[in-house]
Amino acid sequence: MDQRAPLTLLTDDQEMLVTEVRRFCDEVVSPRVREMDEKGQLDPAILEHLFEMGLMGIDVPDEYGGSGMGFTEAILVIMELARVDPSVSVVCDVQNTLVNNAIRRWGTEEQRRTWLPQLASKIVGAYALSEASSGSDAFSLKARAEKTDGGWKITGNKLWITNGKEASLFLIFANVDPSKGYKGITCFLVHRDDAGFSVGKKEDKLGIRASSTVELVLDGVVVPDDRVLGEVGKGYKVAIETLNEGRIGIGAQMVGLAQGALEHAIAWAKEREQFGKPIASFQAIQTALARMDAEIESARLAVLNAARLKEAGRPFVREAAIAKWIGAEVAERAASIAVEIFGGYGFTKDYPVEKLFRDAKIGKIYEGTHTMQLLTIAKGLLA
Amino acid sequence: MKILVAIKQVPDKNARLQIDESGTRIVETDLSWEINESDRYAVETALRLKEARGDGEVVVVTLGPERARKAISSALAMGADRGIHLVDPDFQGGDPLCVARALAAVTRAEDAPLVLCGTRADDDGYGETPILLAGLLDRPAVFLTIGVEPLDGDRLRVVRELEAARQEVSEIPLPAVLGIQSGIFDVRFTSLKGIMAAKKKPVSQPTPTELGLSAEQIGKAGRRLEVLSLAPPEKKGQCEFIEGKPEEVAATLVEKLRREAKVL
Amino acid sequence: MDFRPTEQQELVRKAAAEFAAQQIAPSVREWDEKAEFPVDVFRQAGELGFLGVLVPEEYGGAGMGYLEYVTIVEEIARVCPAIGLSVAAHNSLCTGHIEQFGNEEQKRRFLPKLASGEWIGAWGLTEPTAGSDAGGTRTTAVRDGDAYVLNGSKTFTTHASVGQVAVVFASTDPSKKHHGISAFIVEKGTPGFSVGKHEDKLGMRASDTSEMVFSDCRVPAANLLGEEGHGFKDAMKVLDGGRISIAALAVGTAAGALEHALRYAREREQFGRPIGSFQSIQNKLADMATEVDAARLLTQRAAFLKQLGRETTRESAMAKLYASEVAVRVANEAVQIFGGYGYVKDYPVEKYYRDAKLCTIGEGTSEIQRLVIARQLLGRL
Repeated sequence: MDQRAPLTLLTDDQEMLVTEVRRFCDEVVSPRVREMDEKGQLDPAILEHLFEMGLMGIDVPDEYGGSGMGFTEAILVIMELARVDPSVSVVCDVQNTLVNNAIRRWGTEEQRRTWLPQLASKIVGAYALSEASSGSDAFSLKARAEKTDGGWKITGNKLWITNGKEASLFLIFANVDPSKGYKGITCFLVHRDDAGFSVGKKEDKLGIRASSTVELVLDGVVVPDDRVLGEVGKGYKVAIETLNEGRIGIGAQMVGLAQGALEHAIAWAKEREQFGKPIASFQAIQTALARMDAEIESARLAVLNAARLKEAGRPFVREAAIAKWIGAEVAERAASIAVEIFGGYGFTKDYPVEKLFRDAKIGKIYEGTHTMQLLTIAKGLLA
Repeated sequence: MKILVAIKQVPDKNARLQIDESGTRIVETDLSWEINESDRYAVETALRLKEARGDGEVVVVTLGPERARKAISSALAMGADRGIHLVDPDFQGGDPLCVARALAAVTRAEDAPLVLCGTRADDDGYGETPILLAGLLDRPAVFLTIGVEPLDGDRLRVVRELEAARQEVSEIPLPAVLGIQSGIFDVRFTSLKGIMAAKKKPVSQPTPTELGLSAEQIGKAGRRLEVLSLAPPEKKGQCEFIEGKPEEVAATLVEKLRREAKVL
Repeated sequence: MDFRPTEQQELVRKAAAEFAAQQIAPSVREWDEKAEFPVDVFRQAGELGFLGVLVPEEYGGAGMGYLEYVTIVEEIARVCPAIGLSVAAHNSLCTGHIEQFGNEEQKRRFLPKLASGEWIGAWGLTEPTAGSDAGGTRTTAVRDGDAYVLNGSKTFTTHASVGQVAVVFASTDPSKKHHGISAFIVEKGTPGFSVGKHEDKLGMRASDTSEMVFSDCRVPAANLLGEEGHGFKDAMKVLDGGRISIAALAVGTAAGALEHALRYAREREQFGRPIGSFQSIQNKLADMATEVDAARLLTQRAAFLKQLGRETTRESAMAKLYASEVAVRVANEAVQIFGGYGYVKDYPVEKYYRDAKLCTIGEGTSEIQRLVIARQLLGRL
């Protein structure tokens, strides 16, 4: 890694990658965005393409059937997809930064060989930590796992699970021994076909509607011992550390969304005329656009740097929290201002910015709320 | 069967172009580049032919400066097997005939029975190079090809586009040259594996001497066509009111869009 | 300075709040999902006097003042900002314009029906090429005998589709630009007047926003509203009042969102305690409440001065600018406080988030408000 290279200067490979993803977005995703949002459903054709292009196993090594690229490339892909549809971006993000990541890190060789090739080529994964009564207080989860002969029996309900409708493999966090508090939490690999497992209610959301967010019902689901990911009672570590990487991914999604909003706003400002000239000639619009750009750049740098730190094997908890926090702030503001710039048109569904406005809001909520990011950063500062 | 695909690197289709001080070229700094659109279809056609036959080699060749290497990499990432980059300064600055001579020399050196080109470059738009190439190689050629199928015994079935949505089907023997039309199917999206694999594929950079070309045959030294000036079209204000009943106005408008504005 | 509401204001507040709780609250989500304007409920509001608040009693109105008016709009907006928007637009724009600039005959003809809600009113100023630049009106009105012939179209018009009558701005003398625009009262059913596209919106979905198309529409000369060529000037005055009502709409939207957030903060537990016991949440709520109060005070000031008959261009613009931005901020934080639940339609706050966004755009964008305020501060430079 060239230490002196600017963060935003891409390698040839990365440039090719981004160009290709951009082309995919413009030709395949863009025409489907509005309908997917209206129906609240991901078009299967898009999922097929994501797999074909190798985007569902970006940093999974070659030997496991993945694309053999790095974490930064995954981040660049997530960013680029979000420019056109943040919903498609999060599908790719959860797969790469949460599911694949967890299995690579904590899976046994056997588990890696079993699951990674499938995740890279044809099955979608989901990450199930949250429950109705445990959001920010994740470790107070109520799902239980009882030891059985040769396996575990899992009971509970999970809520807010991204990709739940499309996924075949689920990372389920359940507690094997509540008396030990969070030290009983264990991560289990549950398959859609396992008896007792079902997908429950699908949420009707404000934004990222094409990304499915569902309830999972585990009614005495029995899984064999080889479905424990990592160690029994160490699931909390899997949860925390996977989420750290996931944060960088969400930061990337938000940066992409903001960039998309900015590009729409610029195009509109140049085209729309009032008072006899393009509204881009007014300082109010110029300063608004300039601020958006400056903020997006700072968020982009935070995300890319966090990604590079992770790739370099350095600690990145603080940087990941900062990346997500700034990304979400900036995206929300950028999308809001973009609607402003479009004026009345921005308030209608015929124009793309109201969707970005709705989509942006999730950035401050999932994978650790906005406040939780700040508390994480504060903890590090005050330690 | 070895298929040689000639590709050109052109400015990104959304790029805003400016003319430099000499008034004969565009300013290249800060431009994004891409493979010429119809050339991409040529690469895709070659890949499909190779896949249909189950064997063969797809070699891409480009004539251009250092930056054009990226066009080769993109084609390799799509699935081409090998690249040839005519990057030597003596190759640069020529007219279409010079480029055709260089490509002809490569075709001979490679002994490639089939050469595919795009229809026309999206930057300077001459559309001559494939035709000149076919002439220099003295090979049968079909341009505006919208479909190719291999037949037994080194023959190809080629479908060509004519006006009024008519098609012409011909059977031609190899060796041949085909000019491929764009928009004829969905070009594959490059996969990440393709991008990773592209790095390992060989790209050679033959010199003019190695290809048996002399200075007067190629590049600036060999050109007989010279660009005197390059300028954007003049913005004119012209408003014509079309009078009449709605049906009449509509018919007149359609004619004007077809004949004058040439957008239909 | 007495900041306490009068007894009349208190009674009005209660009446509006009760009406909203009983007649609007149960159907808010349904109307939003279907983008359906509840004509019956709107008419019920008319029966209670909510649709002709400022109209003198002699014309069938409630004969009340601006302070009562903003109270009503705020209370309704608390429950459903979309209905609040419709109430505000009906009162301030169409009805307000006729009340301020109509002749006696026009007032007698139109105000009673508008005040009672029998007729719903629209106000067509915006066009595809005339948004912030309202003077860029291209709709024309050509005098022909005892009528004016209107040609053109109006966009983003509240009540264009459900209304029975509309105030429409058209140019009677394009050469005079702003000073060539006149206002007309056009009744539904007039040949040549049709309703066009119905907008599919981000928020305020229960409020009808549609297009009006005029094609050789003959409007009787008796329907010229105000003097010829005074349309633009009159429109600006109408907007000065309208902006106060939008400020009230924004205050109500913010207040409604805040209420939900407060309740949730008390109820939702994490880490073994209500989330309202955490400083971060407390800080958010404190800021939200302070801003809502500030917005309300700015709105009441503008209303109070308007009531006294003063020109309130600056105060109206300040109230609208500030309150609308507060509405967006507060609705946003409300979603944040609800966390994941704030992002789903089963819970009420995501709707406030979508609705609030209109406030910074309609009846003059925030950018225009700033322009207006700056001009008031600096004079024309």
